Amino acid sequence: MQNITQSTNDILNSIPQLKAESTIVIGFLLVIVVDLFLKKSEKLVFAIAILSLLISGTFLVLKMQNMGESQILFNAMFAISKAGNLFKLLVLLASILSLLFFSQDERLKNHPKGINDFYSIFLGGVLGMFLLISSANLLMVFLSIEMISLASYLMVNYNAYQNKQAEAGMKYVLFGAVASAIMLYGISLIYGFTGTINLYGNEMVNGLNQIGAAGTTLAIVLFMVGIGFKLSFVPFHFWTPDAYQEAPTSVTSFLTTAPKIAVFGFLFLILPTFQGLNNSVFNQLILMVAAASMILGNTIAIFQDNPKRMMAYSSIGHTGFILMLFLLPQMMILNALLFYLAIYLLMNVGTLMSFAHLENKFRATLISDYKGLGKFVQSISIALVILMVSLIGLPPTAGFIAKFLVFSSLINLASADIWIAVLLIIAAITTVISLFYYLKIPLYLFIKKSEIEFKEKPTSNFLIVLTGLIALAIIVFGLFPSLISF
Amino acid sequence: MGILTILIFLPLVFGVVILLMPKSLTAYFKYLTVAVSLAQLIIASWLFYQFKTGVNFAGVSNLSQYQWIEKLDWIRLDVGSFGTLQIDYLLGVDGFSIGLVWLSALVMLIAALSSWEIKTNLKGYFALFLLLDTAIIGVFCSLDLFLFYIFYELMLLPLYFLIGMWGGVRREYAAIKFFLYTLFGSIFMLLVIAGLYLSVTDPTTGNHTFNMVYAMNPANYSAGFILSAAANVQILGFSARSISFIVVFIAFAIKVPVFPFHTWLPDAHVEAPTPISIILAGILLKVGGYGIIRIAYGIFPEVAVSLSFWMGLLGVISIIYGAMNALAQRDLKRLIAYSSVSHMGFVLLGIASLTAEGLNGAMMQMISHGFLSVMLFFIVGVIYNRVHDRDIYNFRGLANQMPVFTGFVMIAFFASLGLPGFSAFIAEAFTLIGAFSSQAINGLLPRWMAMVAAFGILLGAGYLLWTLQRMFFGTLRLKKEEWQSQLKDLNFREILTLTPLAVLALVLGIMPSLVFNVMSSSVNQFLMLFK
Repeated sequence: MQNITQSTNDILNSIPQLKAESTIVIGFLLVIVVDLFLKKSEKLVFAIAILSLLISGTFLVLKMQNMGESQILFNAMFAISKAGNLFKLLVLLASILSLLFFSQDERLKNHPKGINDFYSIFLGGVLGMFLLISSANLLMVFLSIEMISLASYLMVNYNAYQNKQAEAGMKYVLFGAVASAIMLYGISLIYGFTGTINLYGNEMVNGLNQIGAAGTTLAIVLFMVGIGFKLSFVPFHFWTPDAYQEAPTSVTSFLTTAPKIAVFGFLFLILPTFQGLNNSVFNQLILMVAAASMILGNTIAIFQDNPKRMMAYSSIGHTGFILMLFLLPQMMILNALLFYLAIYLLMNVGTLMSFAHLENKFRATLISDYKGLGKFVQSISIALVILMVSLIGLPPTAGFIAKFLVFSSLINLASADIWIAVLLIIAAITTVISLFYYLKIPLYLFIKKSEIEFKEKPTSNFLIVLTGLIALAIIVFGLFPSLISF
Repeated sequence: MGILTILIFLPLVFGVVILLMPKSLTAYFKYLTVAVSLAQLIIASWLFYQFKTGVNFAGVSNLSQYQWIEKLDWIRLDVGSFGTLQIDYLLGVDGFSIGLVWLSALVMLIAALSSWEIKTNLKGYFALFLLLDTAIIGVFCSLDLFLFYIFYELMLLPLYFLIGMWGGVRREYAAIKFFLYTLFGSIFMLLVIAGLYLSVTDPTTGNHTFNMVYAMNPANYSAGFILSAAANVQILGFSARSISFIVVFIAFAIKVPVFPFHTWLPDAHVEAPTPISIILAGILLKVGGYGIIRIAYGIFPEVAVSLSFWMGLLGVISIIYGAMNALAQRDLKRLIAYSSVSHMGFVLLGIASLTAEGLNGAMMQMISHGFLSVMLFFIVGVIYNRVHDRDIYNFRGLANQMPVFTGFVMIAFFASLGLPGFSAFIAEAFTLIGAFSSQAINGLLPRWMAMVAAFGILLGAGYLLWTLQRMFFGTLRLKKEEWQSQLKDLNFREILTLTPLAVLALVLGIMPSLVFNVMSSSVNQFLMLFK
């Protein structure tokens, strides 16, 4: 009886801590209701969506100011911490930028039922990401990953009427379902071995340490399959190129950023659990997938002619690069990780916005269609050059600072561990390789001469303005990275 | 705001101005660029004139002895357990950099004057040109490794576009090849810079620092970090410092370019428009030499000493290999590109000797080759702009057709092949003396290297004189009839460009002390690092 009172009290005390999440839930419900009862409500729904994101962000910021240690809520289901809130803020930033992008996406707007349903799915996805970052329990992890996945499936398949689009969507769903199943199997193994599904606290680590190498290895590898699917690192990347290529561009921009930030945030928060194991399987796994992702992502990207597909492989490469950080103890990587993710999100969204604009205006869907376009749309072409330079990681852009932070975090370990030295060399070489495909875009825009006449379509300049601002931010943060301080 | 900041960012400001100017003013872009370069040259000359010499202003490993120092806190980024990322906006010049700063300003002016041949998309061209100008001066002035690296990489992108958009037929290939080679070197150098940052602490604040002057002092290394000499950290069985030296050396050797990293150079030169060839040969190659001296040798002196034999060997191979290749070329521009490889080999040989003569010679060679190669590429540009052909065998007897031009060609050729009385003679002679005496002084380079290198001068005379004979002497014979009317003698702008270069070659040949005075105390101070 006492136990029940205690847990009820815990739940009641925990509820007020979830203002940010509740705001999104309210927004989600409002969007559905408004869409049901009001006609021509697109503007209103958009306003509700963006407002709920903004208010939720305000709550997060307020919360952060008087937050000490991390708190465990809801009977160890949920954990909030300052770092977690920072990741949530990044997710919000990605979501807000994507939301602005959705509203410009012609393919989404042309859906016979309008775009309102899409907004509600989107808000559901954002909620899933918030829950994932705060998960303190393996079941919670599974639920929130499923929540993100379901939202992503629907978003990719929204308006997928052509065969290719449907195929990509199917691939994504099937692959995701298998990955989830395997992950669930891993979770059940962990529970079987340790008798607990609490990620925080010592029980799980101690339990796993008693099991022996083979058991832990199996459990962790299976668990990481689910994470790998969401992060799309090699060898769980197969769905990425197809899904990113065929999804509406704005959805691609959302998928390459927000869910990844959430999963990286989650991985960061539970890093002590994995690194506390006697078995070094987690580190070995990270070493291998990081190396494989960087090599595969960056080499295959060279051969792509579809810019979105190229960005898919580029994102696999960047995932590998970020994963290198997870070889270090948790306390050493937070700033570098957040900085990299923040810049990566700006670069990716900006790049895909430019692609979308070129597609809207000139029907240019392939890189080879960009031939000679530079002269006609100078502002967006210059912004694209800046973004590409930043994606390569060259100064004076923020991408360079991000890359440098990762390098400088790892370099001192290079002497202690040969494999880290090898990994750093791979990272350096793949950076050089990435030059080939990132520079292809300026090459086609500016250096190649076009043979055909361009037919311009009147489009809004909204995306140009946004891309320009993002490119400017990339340069400013490159020169004054201290402006982003966490 | 200090004078160096003005010198560096003046072009950038006007680059932005050009971007903002309306299309109707296109015709004035080149005059504006020339005016900016001229202003820059005047400032640089004033700096050169005011530069204080003597033991107390040697610079190198002593920060307080640098001149026109500017220091601002720039980036303070909290990076968790590593403390704060301390990056300073730190500028200053010493005897090694002041000459190159002045040379850069001069070369940029010449390049601006030869930009008359550019006809398309002038706004983009001059904006990129001025951006490149900023990056180049910045490289020579920055004393913070991070700042240096930013300027160093900032040179790549404008050059990529300048070669790629206004270049010749295979411009895409040449541009990407140039970019790839340089980035390949520099990305590994970035790892070394990260390692240096972790190992070096600022003696006054105790923070980790990118200050390259502090990195030259072993006392500033904190024990136990990767690049500290005392810790002697091993990576894959090699000392971390040796690996770092080699990595940094390769990064700059690609720029110089030293055999076997030189293959980008002929392509880039041949495809680039004349002004860009001028910048490439006149300054970019010197960035490599400067980096080897200041960073590779300055920060890793003990490794440099142990590998000096190999450095010297690479220098000698570059001299002979470049000259042999030059002999085999039909394309005049390619010939001059390979002659650059050969001449820059002397720089490496002089540095490797680690003697006062050798280093003075190497610095002199950089400056002398700076304006001589500018002259040579300008000469190629003169012919190419008139008939769009550069094949040596398509011309004969040009001396009758273009007498003034031939006069300048003869000055440039004779100066380049090291005729006494011209600057290259002084430079090459000093380098060879240094290399020759190295065995007796510090036992680093065997005598045969100097002898073989001297043979390179002979080969140089071979390809230059042979070219002179093939193209300019004899009776006039051209590939096409109409060329005769197109091949007019030099116009006023071209004479104006070539005259100061020719005068400089002669003045520095007769009074080399103009340059030696400025750098000798820095060279002596630099050699103290290796004691």
